[in-house]
Amino acid sequence: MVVAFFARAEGEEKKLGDESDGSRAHAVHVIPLINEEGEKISPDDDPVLPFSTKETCGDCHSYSIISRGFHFNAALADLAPEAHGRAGQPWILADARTGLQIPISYRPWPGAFTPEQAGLSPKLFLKIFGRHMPGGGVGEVPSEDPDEIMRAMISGYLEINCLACHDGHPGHNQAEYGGQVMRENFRWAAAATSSFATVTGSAKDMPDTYDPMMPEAPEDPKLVPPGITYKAGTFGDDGSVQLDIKREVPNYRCYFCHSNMYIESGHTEKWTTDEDIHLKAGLTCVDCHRNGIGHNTGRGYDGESEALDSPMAAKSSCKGCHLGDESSESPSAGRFRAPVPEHRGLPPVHFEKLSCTACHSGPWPGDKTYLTKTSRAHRLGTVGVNKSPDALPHVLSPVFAEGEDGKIAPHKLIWPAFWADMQDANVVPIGFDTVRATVGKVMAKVELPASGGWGKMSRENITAALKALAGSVSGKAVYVSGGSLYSLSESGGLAEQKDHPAGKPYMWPIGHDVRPAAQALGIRYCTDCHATDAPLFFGGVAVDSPVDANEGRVVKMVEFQDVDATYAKLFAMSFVFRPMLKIVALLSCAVLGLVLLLYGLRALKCVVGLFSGQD
Amino acid sequence: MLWDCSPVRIDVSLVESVFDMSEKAKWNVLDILRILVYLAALACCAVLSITGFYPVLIKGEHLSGYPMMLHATCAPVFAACMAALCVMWAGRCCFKRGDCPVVRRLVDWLTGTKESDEQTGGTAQKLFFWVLVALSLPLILSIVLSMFPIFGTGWQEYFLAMHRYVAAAFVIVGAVHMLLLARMRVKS
Repeated sequence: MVVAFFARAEGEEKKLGDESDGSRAHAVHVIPLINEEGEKISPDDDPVLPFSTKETCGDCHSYSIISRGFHFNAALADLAPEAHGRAGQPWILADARTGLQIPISYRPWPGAFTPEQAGLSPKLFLKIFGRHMPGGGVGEVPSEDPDEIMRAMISGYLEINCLACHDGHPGHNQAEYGGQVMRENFRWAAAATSSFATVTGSAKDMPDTYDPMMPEAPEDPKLVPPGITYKAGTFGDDGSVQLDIKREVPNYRCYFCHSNMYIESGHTEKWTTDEDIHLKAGLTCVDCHRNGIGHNTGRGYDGESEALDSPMAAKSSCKGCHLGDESSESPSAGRFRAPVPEHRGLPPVHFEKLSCTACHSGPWPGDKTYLTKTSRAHRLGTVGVNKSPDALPHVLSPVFAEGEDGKIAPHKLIWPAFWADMQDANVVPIGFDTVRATVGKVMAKVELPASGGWGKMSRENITAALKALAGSVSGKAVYVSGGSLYSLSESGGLAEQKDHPAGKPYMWPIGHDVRPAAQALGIRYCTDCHATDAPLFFGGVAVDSPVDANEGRVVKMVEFQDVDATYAKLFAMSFVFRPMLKIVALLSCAVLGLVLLLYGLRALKCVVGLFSGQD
Repeated sequence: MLWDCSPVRIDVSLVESVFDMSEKAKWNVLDILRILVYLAALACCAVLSITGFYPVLIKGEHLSGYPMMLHATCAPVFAACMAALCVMWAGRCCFKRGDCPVVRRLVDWLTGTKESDEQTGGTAQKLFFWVLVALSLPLILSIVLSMFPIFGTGWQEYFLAMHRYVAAAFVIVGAVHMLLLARMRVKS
C-alpha cells in the first residue's frame, strides 16, 4: 500500500485493471497484442514481433507498481532490507567439477552471497537461473557493460512474464521459457510460453550488428535469427486476441517454480506422494498467498505483518486462519473453514518453542535428512533435467533448526562449498569464471559420477587447487566445504578449521507440504519427539561435501537448536518413566481422595448423628 | 532455647518434640516411617517450590530445561509422600468436639447436653492438615490430567494456571501448618 501510494504520488493515474469494481465475475481479456515499441501487432507485420507484456498488460495494469512486487523486487536497490522478509530459498550455483555449491541471492539474506560476489553478471545470472524466474527485476536492469548494452539491443530485456502465473490456457508451456532464456531470446521468452505463439532461432548466435527490427539473414545459414509466428486464428477480426487470464493463479502455475521432491528412498515418484492438505481441502495457493496490484505476495509466515505492509499478512498465516488475528476487531478465525486446533494433551510451552510447521510441515522426519529436490535448485519441469536423486545441488531436509523467530522449525539446508579469498576474517567467494579456469583445470582428473553428484575430492586436490588460486587472490585462497575452512599452512600443507563461520549451512524454512493433524508429530505419543532417538532432536544431518574425508559424516539435529544436547538426551530418557509418573500420581490422588471421602463421610455421620439425637 | 543463633545448628529436642519422639519407649517402625515420609515430602516440596516458582516469578519464563526435569522427578515422590502422610496422619487429625469452643457450645445448645470444657488443642494444625490434603488433589490432578490427550489448549492453559495458584496456596498453607505443628510440639 505504501509502495502503491508513492508510485501514485509520482503522478501516475490508476489504470483500468488496477482497482476492481467489486464484481467477482471473471474478467474476459480480449485485447490487442502490443509490441515493445508500443505498436499493435498484426500477423501481417514484417517483421512480426513478440508481444511485450509491459505494453500489452501494462495498458490496463500499472507495470511500474507490479514490478515492485515480491517476485520481481529482489534486485531493487531502493527496497528497505526488512521488505525482503525472512530468509528464503536462494538460487544455488552448483558445479561438481570445481566442488562448488553456493547460495546466491540479490536479497540481503544472511548466509547468501550476491551474484556479484560469486562473479556472476546480471546476464550470466539470468542465463543460469532465468528458467525459473518470472522476469522483471534484474532482467530489466540495463547493464553498464558496453558489450552487454549492445547485446541487449538484440536480445531485449526479460520483462515480467505475466503469463507465467496468470495464463490459464492448458497450452501454456513454461518450460519453453528456460530454453528461450538460454538462447538469450529475452524479448521473445514470455510470448514463447503462450499457447498461440512459436519462437524459433537464437539471439545469442546473432552478431552484434544484428537488428531484430530490421532483420537480415545471417551469413551462416546454420544460424537462425530469433523470430515469432502466431498460430492461425489467434487474432480476431478486429486484431484482438483472447487471452485466458486467471486473476486467481492456478496451483499448477505456482508448482512450476515451487515443487519439492523429498527423496526418501531411491527415487520418489509423484503418484506415491500427497499434496498439501490445504489443497486437498479445496484451497488454492493464492487463497493464502495473496496480493493486490502491488503484487507483494504474502509468504504466510508468522510475523510477516512486520515486514509486509498488507492488511492480509496477519490473517494469512497458520495462526491467522486457524486461531484468528488477535489484533482484529472482528472474529477472524476459521477462514476457509479452518478448524480450530485442539492440541489435546500438548503443553502450551510447545507453542513458545516450536513453529506450527515443526509438527505439521514437510516430510515425516527419518533417522537422517533426505536429499531434496526443488524446482528452482534442480530445474524441475524443464527440458533435459537430471532426474538422478544425487544431482547437485544437495539440498537436505527436514532439518529442525531454530528459526529467525527463535522457534524450532523444519528447514531445508545446503552446506556451502566454494573457493574464496580470505582477508582477515572476511571470506568472499572467488569469481565463478576464475574458479572454473583455475580449479577446473586442477580437478580435471577427479572422476565425476554420472549421477551429477560430487566427485571425490582429496586433500591433495584441494592443496593443489589452493596453490593454483594463490595468484588470483589478493588475500589468502581458501576452500569452504562441509562446515570446514581449508587453507594452506605455512609449511605448504593443508590446514582445516572445522566449524568455521564461513562454512555455516544456509537454511530456509519449510512451509509446505502441510500434513493433516492425524499425521502431525506427536500424534502417537510424546515420544514422536521426546524419545532418545527421536529425529526432531537426534536425527542425523548429513554433512554434504565433495571432500572425501567428509563422506558419511553427520551432525545431530540438536546442534542446530538452542538446546543443550545433554539436556535433550536426559529429557528424552525421562519419558521412559513418564507412564510411571502418571500412575504414581493418579494412585496418590486416589488415596488422597479416598481418605478425604472416608473422613468426610465420618464427619457427615457425626453431623447426622448429632441432629438425629444419637451422639 | 531450642534454636541456636546459627541456622545450621538445631537442637535435637526440637526434632524430637515436633515428631513426638520424647517418649522413646513408644517408638516403632511407623513412627520412624512417618518422620521419614514427612521429611521427604518437605524436601520435595522445597525443590518443587524453587524449581516451579523461580523461572516463572523471577525469570518470567515457562518452566523448562533442567529445572523442569528436577520438578518432574520430585513430583511423583511428593505425590506418593502426600498420599502416605494422609493415610498416616488422618486418624490423628480428626476433629473432636473439644477442638473448637464455639462449635462445642453450639452442639451443647442444640443437644441440650453439657460436656466437659476440656480442650483438645491443635485445631488449627488439624484444619490446615485437611486443607493441605484437599489442595493436594487439584495440585496433582491439574498437571497429571493435562498429560493425557484429553484436554485441548484452552484447558491446558487453565490447568497450568490452576496448578500454579494451587501450588502457591499449598506452599503457604504448608508453611503455616509446619509452624503450627512445631509450635504445638514445642509447647507440649
